[in-house]
Amino acid sequence: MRGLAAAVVLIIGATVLASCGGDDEPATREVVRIFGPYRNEEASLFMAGVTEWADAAGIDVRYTGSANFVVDLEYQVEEILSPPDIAMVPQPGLVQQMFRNGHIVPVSDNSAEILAQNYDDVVLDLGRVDDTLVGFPYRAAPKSLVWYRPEVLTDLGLTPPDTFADLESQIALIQGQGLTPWCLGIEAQLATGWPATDWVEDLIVRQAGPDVYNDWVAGIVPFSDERIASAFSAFRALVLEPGRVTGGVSKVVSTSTQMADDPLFTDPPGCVFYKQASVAYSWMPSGLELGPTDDINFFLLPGTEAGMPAPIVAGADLAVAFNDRPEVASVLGHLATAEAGRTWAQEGSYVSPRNNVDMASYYSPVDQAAAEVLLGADVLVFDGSDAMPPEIGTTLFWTQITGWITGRISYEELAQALDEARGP
Amino acid sequence: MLPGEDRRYIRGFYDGLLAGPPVSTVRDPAPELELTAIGRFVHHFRDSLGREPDEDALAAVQELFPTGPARIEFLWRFSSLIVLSSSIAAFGLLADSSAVVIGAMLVAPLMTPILATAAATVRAENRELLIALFVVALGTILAILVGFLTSAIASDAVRGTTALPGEVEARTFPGLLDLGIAVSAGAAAGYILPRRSATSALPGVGIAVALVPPLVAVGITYELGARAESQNALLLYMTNLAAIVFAASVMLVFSGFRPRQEVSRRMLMARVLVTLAAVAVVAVPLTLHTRSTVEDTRLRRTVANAITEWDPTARVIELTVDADNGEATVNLLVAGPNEPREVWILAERIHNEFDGPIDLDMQFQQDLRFRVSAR
Repeated sequence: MRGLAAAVVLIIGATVLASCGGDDEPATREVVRIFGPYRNEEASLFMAGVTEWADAAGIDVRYTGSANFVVDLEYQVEEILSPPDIAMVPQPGLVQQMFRNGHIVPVSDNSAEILAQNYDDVVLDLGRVDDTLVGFPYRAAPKSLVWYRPEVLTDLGLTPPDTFADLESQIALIQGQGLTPWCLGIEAQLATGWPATDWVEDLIVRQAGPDVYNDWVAGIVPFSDERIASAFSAFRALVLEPGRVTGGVSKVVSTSTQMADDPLFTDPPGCVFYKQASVAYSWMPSGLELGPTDDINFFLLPGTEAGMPAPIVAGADLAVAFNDRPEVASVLGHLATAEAGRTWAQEGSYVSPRNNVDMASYYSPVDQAAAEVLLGADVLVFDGSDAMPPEIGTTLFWTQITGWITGRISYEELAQALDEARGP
Repeated sequence: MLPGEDRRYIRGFYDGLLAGPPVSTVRDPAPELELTAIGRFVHHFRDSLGREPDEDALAAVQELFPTGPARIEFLWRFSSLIVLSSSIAAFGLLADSSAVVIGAMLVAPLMTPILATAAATVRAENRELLIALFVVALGTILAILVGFLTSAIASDAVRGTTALPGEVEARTFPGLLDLGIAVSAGAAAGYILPRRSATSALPGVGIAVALVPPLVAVGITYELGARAESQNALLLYMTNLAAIVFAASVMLVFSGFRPRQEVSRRMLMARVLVTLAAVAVVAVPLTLHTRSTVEDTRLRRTVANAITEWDPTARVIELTVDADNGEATVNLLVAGPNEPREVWILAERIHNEFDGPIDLDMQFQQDLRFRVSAR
């Protein structure tokens, strides 16, 4: 048949187009499991600082991150007694509890040496429990930042406020212009409520000062104290009153924390201000330039007194080990070096707590600005809910404040529940 | 016409494969020549290559090129049939009816100008080639336009829903299999064209390699705002177009069709190579597309297995996966009687099996049972 052979050739050619390759067999290496709260892009950025070193060291580092980090870690450590090798814990309160319960392995002498080369001693205090060094901050973040789009503020004829009174009058003015002043979303699965606790903490340290704040975190000043109650009232008046927050309070509790900034970028803007930690930059649309005339910028939530520096609430993720195998200590030693955070710092949303990074070359512009805020702080306090014992700070406080926002419980009920749980 | 010269060109091309010295003529091979098996195959091939198409075959191909007043009439008829077949296809696609869509394929006249493109390519008739390409472009634009307009008028039922009708969606996942289909069907079309006795088989080609439905799907998806799907449907059409022209051209060459002028004959190989290059161009996105589909399937299987190992009582209700550059995004809706606890173990299992970063978002519905009695 004329053409038959040609047809066969063509069809075989068409069939051969599909092909696939093989994979190389990986060599057996020691496995170190890390558990943390970083997910999606953040998980990739965390591992970007580890993989190359781990390959050279012949260690197979496997990272898993969960949105329900605290509950999942407690379950692994305390219930099924199958902890990860290393955890990245943003809650020093949880670290204290787990060390006292005998789960966390103290930092080895070798790692302590590396830490001493990279950290100021006062920063390492964050990782000390009962005078023992049990962990160290891997990442830090100033939380008292208010994000805004310079273009929007300029259109309103405003400049970043210098004092709390300025901020209050700007909020009223923005509302008068028919815009919504604040964006806020506190939904975070089992951690729902944490952004609201950050808000209240910022107001407590501003209104009552750092001493009362630290006493409140330590359980010496109760929730029922007038100074604490007054900060909650100020939060409601400034942010939660009708018309002041995008979508009203029902939207606040149902909006995912990582999506809360979305209305900031709509046209016309769905909100003008968004108070959130430096890490919020990684939740925003990619490629935003930071600066007073650029796409996005932030100012410090102002202090209550004119001319006084604004206090800063900061958070930090502590690296701790649950097993004392040499390869675990080795990974921990690497996490203590500035190299472990370099890629992340260059992509945005990573502030190093170490004392030996070159600001200009280490950071992206956003992180450099956030790092400068932390370094320049006159009054610096640690995130209160994260520092409290976990059964208070990372569970009850979150659920109680969520109930208080929706109006399901009164402030008196919230204070009573939390004070009773903390004991006398 | 100098048949001998024609063969000289072809002989020069194949002689290197012969075991013995070059033969003097094609139609009269030297009987004393010792040929290897390959040599005999090539010899047979060359023999068929040299054969002139008969009068009937020439006339059949010539019908693809109406001239004079017939050309205008042809254009009118072509445009009317394109609009009608596209309308049938558009309504069939929106109604999700494969029978209607197949009906539209039988009415569609696009195969005629596409085969004319192939014939003009191998016969080096540049003017005819341009006219044929113009008719193909006209048909393409009309079909997309009809799809767009029909969707604007009649897509209320599917607008706003998350899923496109199955018949539309089926046209938005072109892969290498579609290229295989198009090459085979194009070869069949090229084979059937000069053989009038086999022309009853031509509609089968039209069904095997649909041209109008992907075009209409381009218009519908574009109108519905599904830009990525629209591009994919266009890719499917381009695949079919390039593969049919290429395969049909090759088959026409093997049926003896040649450029009429000697100077153009030397360009024949270059012309066919241009059509092959067009196939190669569409093969690149198709290969990527096929790879990502294969990756998605592998990931889907990995997730399903991992869930069974993780909690044998859990049932997967909804699973969407996206494997992109070795990174996986998995969205899961799972139900089961147990309280889900170690979700990180599930993620680690999938990660180990899939061997790449994974982001898992799982919603778990716990089966609750209530048994009450009232007396």
